[in-house]
Amino acid sequence: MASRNQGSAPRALVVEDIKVDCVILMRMLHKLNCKATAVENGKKAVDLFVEGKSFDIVLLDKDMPIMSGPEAVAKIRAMGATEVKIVGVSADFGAQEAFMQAGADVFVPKPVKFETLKAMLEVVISKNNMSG
Amino acid sequence: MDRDNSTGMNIGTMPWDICEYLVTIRGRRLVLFNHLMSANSIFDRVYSGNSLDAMKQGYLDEQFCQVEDLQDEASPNFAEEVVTLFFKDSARLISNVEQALEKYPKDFNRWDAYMQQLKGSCSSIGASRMKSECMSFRDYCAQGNVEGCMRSFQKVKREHGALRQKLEAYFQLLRQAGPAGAATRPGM
Repeated sequence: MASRNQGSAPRALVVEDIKVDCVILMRMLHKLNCKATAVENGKKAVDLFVEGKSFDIVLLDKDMPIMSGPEAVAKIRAMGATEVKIVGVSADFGAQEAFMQAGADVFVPKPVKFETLKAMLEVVISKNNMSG
Repeated sequence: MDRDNSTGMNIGTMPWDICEYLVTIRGRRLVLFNHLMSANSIFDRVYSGNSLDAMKQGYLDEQFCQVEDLQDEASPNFAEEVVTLFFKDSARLISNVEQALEKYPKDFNRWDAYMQQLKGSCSSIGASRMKSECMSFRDYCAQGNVEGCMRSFQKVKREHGALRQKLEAYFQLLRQAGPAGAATRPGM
């Protein structure tokens, strides 16, 4: 469903209801030269995919109003978005299982370190470049 | 009055805990303040008379340095903006917990859920002491210990107030030490 983004800035989606966490993640992504979008719950994230938006990487918190991270992950995957890298992010270590079962690629505990995010983006970029 | 001529700061009355905090949290600040201060500087006094136990008892951990490292010329006040946002958010979350403690007696799941959010925010900016108290509160919730929750919540509020004071003083110091025409201070 999602087209590969070759050679241009990685497109990131941050799904996070806690403003502090969202601002920090967005800043990190900006410093890593990503084109980043933020929404505050899983439903809004799913709606973006329904609208045909595509992303290279999606970072989701677990507990959010209206729709949780794992629920959003399951819906995004069910829509056929199998190539987008999905990262579950939570301060709750018990969230890992929920995210992985829903179809996330990786789980990262909060707070997310800059170097961790950078390494994940490097994988995304290299995958995008190889597909060209 | 002990005044540093290069900055005009009255270092004689600078609070000790802030001095120790500056020494232990930011390696780069050591160089900055050494350059700016006179021989009878905060640093000399800190090193001669005080241990660096402030690190172990630190109000902030390495995560705060991560936040500061996200600053650059385009966003020179990023850390202060994040901290301002944190205190706005955390005040609301603390109020949520307070109301829940009053309106929903022994609703440990609800209390825990609110405190989990606060704990998450604390982690994000490296507010380690506050985060510890949040975790204590959650432990008491898991035990079904009302009195423990109430005591712990009071500690959370105290740590919140103490951290706010220290960070306000910290950013005030940075503005005094920074270049002329520093950005205006967001309301905290």
